[in-house]
Amino acid sequence: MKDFVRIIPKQGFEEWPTKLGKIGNLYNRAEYEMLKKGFRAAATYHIDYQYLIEGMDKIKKDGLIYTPLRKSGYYQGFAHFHHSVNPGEPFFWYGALTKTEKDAEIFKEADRIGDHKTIGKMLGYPECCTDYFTRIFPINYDPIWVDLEGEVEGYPEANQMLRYFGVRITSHLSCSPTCKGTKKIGKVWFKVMKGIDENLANELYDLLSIPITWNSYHGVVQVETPYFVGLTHTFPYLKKPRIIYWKGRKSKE
Amino acid sequence: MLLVKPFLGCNLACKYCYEGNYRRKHNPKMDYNLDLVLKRMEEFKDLEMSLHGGECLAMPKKDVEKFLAKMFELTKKSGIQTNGTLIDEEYIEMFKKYKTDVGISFDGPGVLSEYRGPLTFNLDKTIERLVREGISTSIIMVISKSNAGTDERLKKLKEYLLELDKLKISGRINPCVDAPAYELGEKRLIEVYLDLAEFCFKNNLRWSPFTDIIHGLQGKPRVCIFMGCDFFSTASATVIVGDGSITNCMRTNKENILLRHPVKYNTREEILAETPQEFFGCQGCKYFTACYGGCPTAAINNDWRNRTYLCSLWKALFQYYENILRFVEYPSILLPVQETCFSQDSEHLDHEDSSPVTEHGDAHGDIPHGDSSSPVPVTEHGDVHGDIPHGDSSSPVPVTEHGDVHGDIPHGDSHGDLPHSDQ
Repeated sequence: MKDFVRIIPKQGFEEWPTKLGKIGNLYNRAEYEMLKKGFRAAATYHIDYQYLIEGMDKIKKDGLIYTPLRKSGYYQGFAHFHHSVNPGEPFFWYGALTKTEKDAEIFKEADRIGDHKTIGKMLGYPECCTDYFTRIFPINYDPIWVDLEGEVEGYPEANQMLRYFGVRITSHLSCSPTCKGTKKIGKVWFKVMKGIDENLANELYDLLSIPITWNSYHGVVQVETPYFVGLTHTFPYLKKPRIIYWKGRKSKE
Repeated sequence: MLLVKPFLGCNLACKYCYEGNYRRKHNPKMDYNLDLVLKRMEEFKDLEMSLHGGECLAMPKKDVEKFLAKMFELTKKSGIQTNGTLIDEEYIEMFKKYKTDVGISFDGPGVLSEYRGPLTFNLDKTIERLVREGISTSIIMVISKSNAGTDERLKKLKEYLLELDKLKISGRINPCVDAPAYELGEKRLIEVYLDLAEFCFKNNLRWSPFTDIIHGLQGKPRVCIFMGCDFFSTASATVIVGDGSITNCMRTNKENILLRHPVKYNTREEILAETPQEFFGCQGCKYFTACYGGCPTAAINNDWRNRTYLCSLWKALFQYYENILRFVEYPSILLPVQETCFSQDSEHLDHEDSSPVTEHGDAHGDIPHGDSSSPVPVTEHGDVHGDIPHGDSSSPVPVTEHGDVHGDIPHGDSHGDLPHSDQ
């Protein structure tokens, strides 16, 4: 199945596709700021080959270092994998942003040998979540709490069920909906987001807090919120849908 | 086709109505924005138009006239789908004035329409009257226990089909779906439809879905349920509701209305082509390119990612007509002919061979829609004309700069999803 993302607003909520675009941009900026402000040692970063010069200028101006790691093909919407690039096709540079040359070298080497533990640590991921990802991703490339189904409560910071549409607070996939480490680092991310656009950050938080339904089946995940239905391609559950009814939990303390 | 649905309320309470859930939740009022709906109709002037409901004739007559007049202004004709119970002299004059194709929802005279209520029992008289007045009239019948549950009722139904033929009326004979208490069981349903197929064949009656199934085998345009439907962008039905929102075929909207996605995707066909039949896909089905898994709103377990639960019925009918076409040596039946034929007696379906998924038409509204009984326009050579194509450009959903691409691409941390090693 081809990559795709679709957002279908409900009647009366026509503005949501545009709003989701803004929320996605807020998250992107927060990713960058989390490194710039020193809350983590590295960030991964994509630069469109057409905007390499502008991208590098900004990085240099911000006192950061960019280490290209590989090319990644264009994709529509959301990608679970880096797409291969054929000669002549457009692509992104995928690489590491760091504050020091030393960190750049460490990240590059960790990437080369597949040392996810080091990579996760540099990106500021909780250790438990890095372990979970390393263990589960080879089996299921959309690892939303693979042992859970039905009604689930947890922290909005850990809710990655809307990430396909740009809606997330943290950059890692949480190991559980109540992961304390995710909650802790999520608070930092949320503070950074509020520093960029407080109203939008609050909307993002609210969206991750309210009840939603995540329904994955036959290679398509369908997420229903009170405002829109989002669809994207995913890991194919063949026999029956895996459904999570997110009850959410307000915990913006 | 453009379906204008300003008012979703109804003066009847048909037991199997697919808008029932929506109606129960929202109790629709006549609060439509007439001017806005009329304005939005202008965006779709290339489409055939039909006034729908709820029951559209339950609106004030002056409003009905405005809608029909607008259609006439835009397309030189108009259309309506109604339960027929409110048709009177004034409406008949209106239909004449605006060259209205009148589609009546009617399950047959008397008790055959039991699930629609006594107000509908004598609609056959209204239909005769419309025909006498020279108004283009067609019918949507829903096959349920009320008109085909017993042999006796089915016999009456067939007699009525012959009566309609004398009036030169045809339309659609749709199976009742998503209403288990009223629909026929699978065995009876297949029995009834095969019987009706034979009956129509012998008497040269041209009703959908029979004509559509033949067209499916011939690779011709056909009713939407056999054309590969995108649940979120129903190509054959663009719908305007009372607040001016644009949505899809109302069968896709159960309790809430989803706005129409501007682009048709083939996701469902891709899923069904790859999913084994035992897991509710269509892999290996020789009729796949004639049927595409059927209507997603009648999908197994009510999940559009599955094929239709009417699969056995459609397969039986495809088989019936395939046999006929082969018998008359019709030159181009669009099937991978070497596959094992489906047998009704067999529980083992052909799971083994994969069926090539051909690129079918782009389905830009060229598909007759199953909710409209606009007379199936049969030409001399028997082809069904498609509706007028619609563009995807007049979408209500603003396509923002990012479209549906949410900006995942040029940023960091790979969403935390990507392993940080070479793939």
